[in-house]
Order: sequence, then C-alpha cells, then structure tokens
Amino acid sequence: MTGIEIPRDDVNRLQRKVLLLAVIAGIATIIGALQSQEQFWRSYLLAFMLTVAFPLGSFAVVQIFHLTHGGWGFGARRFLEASMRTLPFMALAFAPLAIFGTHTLYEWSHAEVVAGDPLLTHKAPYLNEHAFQLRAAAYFAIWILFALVQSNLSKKLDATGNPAYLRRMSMVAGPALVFYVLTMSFAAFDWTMSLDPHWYSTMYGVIFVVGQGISAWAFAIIFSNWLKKRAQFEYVMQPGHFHDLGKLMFAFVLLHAYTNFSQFLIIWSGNIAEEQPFFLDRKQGPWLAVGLFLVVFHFALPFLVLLSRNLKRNAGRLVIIAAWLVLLRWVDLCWYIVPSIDHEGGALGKVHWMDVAAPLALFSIWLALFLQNVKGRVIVNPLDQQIEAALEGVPLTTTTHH
Amino acid sequence: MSADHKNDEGLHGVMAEFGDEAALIAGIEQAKRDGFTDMEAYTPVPSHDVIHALGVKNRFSMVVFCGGLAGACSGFLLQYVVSVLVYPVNIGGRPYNSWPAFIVIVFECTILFAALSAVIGMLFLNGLPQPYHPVFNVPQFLRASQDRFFLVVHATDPKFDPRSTMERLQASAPLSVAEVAN
Repeated sequence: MTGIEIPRDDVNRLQRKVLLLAVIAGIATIIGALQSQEQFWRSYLLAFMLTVAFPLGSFAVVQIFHLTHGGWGFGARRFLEASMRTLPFMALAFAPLAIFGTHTLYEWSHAEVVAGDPLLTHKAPYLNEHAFQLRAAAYFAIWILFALVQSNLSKKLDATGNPAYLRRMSMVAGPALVFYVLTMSFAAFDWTMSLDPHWYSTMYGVIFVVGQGISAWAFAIIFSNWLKKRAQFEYVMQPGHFHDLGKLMFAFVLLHAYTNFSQFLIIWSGNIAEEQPFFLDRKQGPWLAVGLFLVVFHFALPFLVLLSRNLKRNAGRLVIIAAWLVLLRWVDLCWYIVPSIDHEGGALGKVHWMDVAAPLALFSIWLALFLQNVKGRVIVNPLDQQIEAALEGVPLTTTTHH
Repeated sequence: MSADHKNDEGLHGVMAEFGDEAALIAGIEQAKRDGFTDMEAYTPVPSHDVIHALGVKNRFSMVVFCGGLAGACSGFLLQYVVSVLVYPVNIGGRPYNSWPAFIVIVFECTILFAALSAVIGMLFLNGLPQPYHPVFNVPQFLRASQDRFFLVVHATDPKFDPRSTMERLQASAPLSVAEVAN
C-alpha cells in the first residue's frame, strides 16, 4: 500500500511530551482525589465532558464529510477517524463515574431526597441510577458501533481503492449523524442537565452537540497545522483547506452563540419560576463575569476575527483562534457544570484546582491514545479517486512504500 | 481599427487577448514589470488568481460589513425609540428597554441591511448599470464571455503610449493585440 503517513518519530516525540503531561496532571488528580473524593467526581465529570467532545465531535465531522465530500476532508478525514476510534476508551473512562460517582454528583440518586420531593418522584422512572447506567451504555454502544463500521469501511477503501466503499460510507453517515444528535442530546440531559434535577431546558442538548462541533473543528485545524509542518504534508494541507475548516468553525461558533442566546431569551421571556434558577444562579458572584466573558471571548471576538478571509487562509494565525476556542470550551463547560453541582447551604460550586488538573490529565491520556491510533496510518491515499479535486491539481509526487 | 483613430484622445486603451487564465496572469505580471499600473482584466469565469495578480483592492467586504453594522444599529434604535421613548407599554412588568427581546429583530435587520448593501454595493463598485463600454468596440471581445481572456492597459496609465504599449504587450505572446477606441 502506498500513501502518505505521518513520520513515526515526530508522533513518538509528541506522544512522549503528552504522556509526561498526563503523568504530572494524573498524579495531581490522584492526590486531589485522596483529599476529597467529592471534589474528584465533580472535576472528573468536567474532565469527561471536555475530553469526550473531541472523539465524539470528530465522529460527527467524519459523518458530515461523508455526506458532503468537501475538499477539507481529504487531508483531515483519516486522522479524525483515528480520533473517533478512541470512543471505546471514553466508554471505559465513563464507567467508574456511572458506577461510583452518581451518588456524589446527582441529587436524584438519593432515595430519601426523591421520596420527599414530588417532582423528583415524578421523574424517578427516568432519573434513577439503573436507567442512567443503561442509557449511557446504549449511547456508547451506538457511537462505537457506527465508529467501527465507518472505520472498517475506510480500511477497506484504502486497501482496494474501490469507490463503492465511499458510497457505502455515505449511506451509513446519514443515520449515524441523526443517531449522534439524538443520543448526545439525551446524554447531555443525563450527564449534566440532571445536576439540577428540577430545572430543564429543551435547548440544552443541542448546545452541547454544537459545542462538541467547535471542539472537533478546532482540533482538525490544530492537528492539520501540526501535520503541515511535516515533510510531504505541505501539499496536502493547502490554504484552501484551512479556509474551509475555518469557515466551518466560524459557523459553529455562530451556531453555539445562537443556541445559547435562544435558551436565554426563551427563559428570560417566559419568566417562570421553574425555568429561572439556572440563570439566577449564574447571575451570582463571579459567574456573571464568567458569563459576560464568554459572550465577548467565546462569541464576539472569534466572530469578528474569523470574518477575515486572509486569516482563515493563514494556518499559523487560524490555529491561534482554534487553540483559543479549545481553551474557551473549558471555560464554557465550567460555566455550565460547576455552578449546578454544589447547592449545599445555598452555596454555588466554585472552581477547584482539580477542575484544571483532571481535565488536563484525561485530555492528555486521550491525546496520547489518539497519537497511538494515528501512528503508521495512511493519512492521504493516492487510491482515493477524489484526491485530485481536493488537492487543486497538485500531483502527489511523494509516496512511501512499506 | 483605422489609422486616423490612433491618437491618445480617442483611445480607451490597448487590449491583449489570451487563450487561457495562466497566459493572462503571465501577461498581467509582464505588464506590471513594464511599469503599468492602470489595468483591467476580463475573463469568462471568475478567478481569484487574476484578481490577486491585478492587485485589486477589494472594498466590497467592508461595504457589506458597514451595511450589517448600520442594520444592527437601526434595528435596535427602531425598537428603542418605539418601546422606550414614543410608546412605552408595561408588558408583565418587564423593563421598557427589554434588549434581549430586541436582539432577534437586530439580527434580522443586520442580515437585511448586509444583503441589500451587498447588492447595491456590487452594482455601485462595478459601475453598473453601464449601457456603453469601449471594450466592445474590439470585435474579438465578443468571446470574453465564452473562452478568451483579455487584458486592457488603460490610456490613463502614466506610462501609456499607444505604439510602445502595444509592443510591450506583444512580448507576452497574446493571441492578438488591438487598440480600444473610446
């Protein structure tokens, strides 16, 4: 098989750095967990929501590629597939939370609280530990199944170059995307919205879906830019591809602001006691400032900067915005999750140092696993018949044999 | 083109005809090296590379951006004037300046004004409508909308001289070179 691979040494070098970070952040998290198990589960939930956005977002982006066949995907698709192949690891990472963490995190898992609360009693058939675990298993089963099917088809396509496989991938992508949006919406309801079991918002699920999209586009841009600096890849990652990825990230930044504002407007206009607590909580103390910070730096600034065509075509500058948005995803998830977690004595949750250490640890473990998946895999295959259109007529002059 | 037309006064410029985009871009680069600055190109298909080679400063995106900004401001102002200053109505005890509820209209007005300024700005910056243009005086130019690429050096260029400009353009081996009468 011929094709362009990522130089193994470069991946190894990056992987060693990432693993070092994972060890340091991991040790810090373990020390923190020994100090306070309660805080550990809170930080772990944040870490999980932040990290799962990358493989799940990549999963969605791969399906979007198979439905649209945009030129941006020919360089990015195979490493995004490597990213979605880490989903079994994410399932493994979720298991301890679902088994040991629910009692600490979720008010609805306390039988005595539910018994004394008519609303929670009413919701109990949905919000109970067994149903929670069963649903989580179902979500992961669906995601992993679709990811494996697409990944196998991709392997066969690379081995044979038979375009029939590309058509079959498009056939799978439609249902996969529909199932992803539905299951991820419910996953967001289960995993984070139910931290506030009395409160509900129909917009909540799609906000998390779109947030994962931002993470995935940003990840695609950052890794494409890393690849661009390797030998053989300068032809694969062209300004036009970064332009496309930049436009898609721009669209998701807009969509994220749109869905968030819609949720706010609906609740603000309705002004009903059941719906208000979410925003009343986030009007208190530092959370108001964090919210305004998000409006300016998660939406307004990236929006204005990403309007520029020249910036989107300049990989070196676009990657700064992408990295910034990854950082802001952490802030946004903190804003969504942390104030909902601790209501003891009416006090809101505060950001703990483990809210930095745990996400860093889980994310770097995931990143190391992703790099392992990407190692030795063909990123551009000359058998791919649509490759020439994507590369704007630049011939593939360099191939490696093995 | 008859000989008695050959004076600077009656001339729009000199036109070179090329068979493809690459040849046109090579022609533009050659003309730039010769010191010409006042040029225009005509192609049957849109081309970013030709725009880039000509070094055309595109003010269009700025026009649309300002249009959108004006739309946002006027959308907000319209609602503010009506609901706060002119006809304040107490709706469920909400403040008169209910800005979250205004955002939707602000958003729509932004899109509307941006779209309108895109259409009007496009017509204005292109100098349309334009019932007469001298380039059509050259018979070959009919193929500009089919399969030929044209470069015109305007007579207003400081380095322009009918005879030498034609010779310079010949250097980049066009299919034909012609004077463009006004």
